[in-house]
Amino acid sequence: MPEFYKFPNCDCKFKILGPPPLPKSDIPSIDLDWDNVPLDCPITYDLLCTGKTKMVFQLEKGGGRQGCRELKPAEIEHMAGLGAVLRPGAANSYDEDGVSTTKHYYLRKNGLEEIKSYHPALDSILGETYNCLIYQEQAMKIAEKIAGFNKKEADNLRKAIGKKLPEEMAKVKKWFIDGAKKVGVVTEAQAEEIFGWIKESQKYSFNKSHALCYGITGYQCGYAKAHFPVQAYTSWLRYGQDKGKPLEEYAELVDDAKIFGIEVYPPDIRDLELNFYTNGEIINYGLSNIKGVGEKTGAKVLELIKGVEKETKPIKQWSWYDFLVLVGSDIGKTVMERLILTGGLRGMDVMRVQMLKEYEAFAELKPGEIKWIKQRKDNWNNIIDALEAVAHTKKNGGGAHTESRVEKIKSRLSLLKNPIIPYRDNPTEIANDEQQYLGTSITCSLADGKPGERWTVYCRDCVNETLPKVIILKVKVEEVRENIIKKGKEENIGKTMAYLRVSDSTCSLSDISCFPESWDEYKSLLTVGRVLEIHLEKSFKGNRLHVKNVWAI
Amino acid sequence: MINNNFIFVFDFETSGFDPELDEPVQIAGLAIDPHTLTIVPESQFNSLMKPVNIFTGTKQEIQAKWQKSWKAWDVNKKTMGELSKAPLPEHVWKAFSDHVKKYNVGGYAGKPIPAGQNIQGFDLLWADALSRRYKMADKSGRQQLFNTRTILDTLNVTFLWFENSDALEDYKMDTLRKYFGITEDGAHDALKDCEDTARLLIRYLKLHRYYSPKVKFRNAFSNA
Repeated sequence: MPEFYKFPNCDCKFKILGPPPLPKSDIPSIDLDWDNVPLDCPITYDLLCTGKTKMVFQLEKGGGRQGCRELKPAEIEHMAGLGAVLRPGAANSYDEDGVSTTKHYYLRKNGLEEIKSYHPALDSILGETYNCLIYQEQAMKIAEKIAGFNKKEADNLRKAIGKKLPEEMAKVKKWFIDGAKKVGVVTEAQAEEIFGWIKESQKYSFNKSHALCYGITGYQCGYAKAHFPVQAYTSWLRYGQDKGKPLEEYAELVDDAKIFGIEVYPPDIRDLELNFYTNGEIINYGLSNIKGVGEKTGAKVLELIKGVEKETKPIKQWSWYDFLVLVGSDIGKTVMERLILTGGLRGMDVMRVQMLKEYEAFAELKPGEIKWIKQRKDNWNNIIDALEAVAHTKKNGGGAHTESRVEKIKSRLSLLKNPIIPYRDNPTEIANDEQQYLGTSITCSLADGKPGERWTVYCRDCVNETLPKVIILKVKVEEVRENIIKKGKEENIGKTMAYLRVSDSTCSLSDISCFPESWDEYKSLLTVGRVLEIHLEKSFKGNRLHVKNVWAI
Repeated sequence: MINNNFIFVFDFETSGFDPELDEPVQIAGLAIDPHTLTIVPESQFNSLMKPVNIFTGTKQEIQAKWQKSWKAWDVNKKTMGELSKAPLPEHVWKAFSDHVKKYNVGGYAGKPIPAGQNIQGFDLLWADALSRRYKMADKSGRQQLFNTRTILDTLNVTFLWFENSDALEDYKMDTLRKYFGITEDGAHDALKDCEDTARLLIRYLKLHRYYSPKVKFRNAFSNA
């Protein structure tokens, strides 16, 4: 085996550790030395430029994603700059033309706006940020160069800027002007103007050392996502339980993984771990990631199952009947029901609905009755036959103590043999249950449960640069954000529009615009949880989609 | 505010009128989609229940208790044979509850709207009693399956349409069947009653939807 692994599309090289490649994976175990990760990987920057920056530090949310798409970072300095200009101060700092500092930075970096030099003395300081003053350190260097400040005085200026202290700023201004006169690089009027910029920048400028740290960390996250996506998603999912809302985090990560073609599966009892795990190709939920289970309970359950496996046979050979009788009474109702509802027992080839009903009947047995069945377990191969046998009093050869117990068991039996509602796993119920206990529906989506006649494509077909010609989706409405228009066309100012997030089984689509006219017409239909057919069109600006028509299903 | 809650029509057949003293013998129900006003496919629920108290005791005691409820059997046509083999009410009520919960669209306010003929005066009282009996009631002893803010009792809806007309001699289901041309075959079987009530309710709701936009409600009481 070669000592180093080289990625084909970017030549990034890594040292390979001892174990051989995982089955079905062509990526061997790789030792990632974060201190020596190259900061110029084109694959990583390509990924960042798409704006698909879930898992990228500081760039996960809407502003960060949009910022990446607009700026198109190509080097680490851009990542640092992005971190600085994304802050609300920069985004809300407008010049006399109504253009924000953030926008200037994006436009100038991409050659869409002229970079005007105010004074050659400033070019070397502001040149790295396209003549936008975005770092506190730049203000310090200007003070040194223009006003002859020493480092301590320049730092006082930075502190005054950082703390936004008006009295300090007034004092420092006087020193600045006096110093500028002495140094003589700029005129007094120019010094006044430059100090004005510095003062204005106090509202939004950021500490460059911080920005660079954030930028490098963000880049490293993007690097991991670009080169080791399966491992990166697994890692982020595992630590999702530390977030304030773990299920929401799981939902976002699973959705993002779908866009990159990475499958995340519900827990599977045949191969169960405590937390998210991967075989290098797909990712599985762990037992503790199911809502309401937790690490302590999950660990006990896994230990129990492993113990029973040793005494009997490997769990991969267990049938549903085996599982029910061997561990059903020891696992606990919450864990059992949620394992069933999230598809954790799907490998046993019994419908979820049937498992729930049979578990309900089994769980209602008295401990003595369960013990009686367990002792004779191999006499039957399904729970109905076992219940038939136990449903006699002891003197009649059964496992029940009294006639009333016999009656109760027989009542349950009659409902198992002739279910009131025929056993059928309904896509709508599966989607709802998985959403409730895993954070997101995985096996199918709510949209799958509805017929629909007009839809033409899936959400996944709409995430790339090239969009389908006709976009009609059959989707569930996940989120609706109303917004009052404050700028743009005058006739729209003050009107309400909305942004939607919708999903189907392939992934979700965010930031779909619903302009005022469409919003007025369709807002009664566009409610969270509703499954609809939505006709989308590409906006004239960029790759954004907006609502054209909506139909109820 | 557009209603997104399912409407769940349900009906009990019982051995008498008193939920505390008498027993349920059948429960049926089905869901109506609030957007399309159609019966949701595969939403039907129908099960007999064994009247446990009647079937406790010696043969003679059982016979006597059965005879006491002769009026009920005369109406709902249930037989001793079929009810003696029926599942226990606690199991059927649990199954019914699980079924109804599937039609909750989200949270407390998302519970399905209960509907039926005289459900306020009868069926909801039975739902409360069974919920209490099987420890599924809320703190005030009421059922927790259905929406409590909105109840669609077809008795009330019929009254609103016919209160100033002598077209109907009363508002009983049998009278409404005759009037609206619904067959009486199988009447007083809970599922048949649910289906007929659902069809009636759907007809009423469609009528409301047709007329509602034509009425000027806004500022109807203002002086302007």
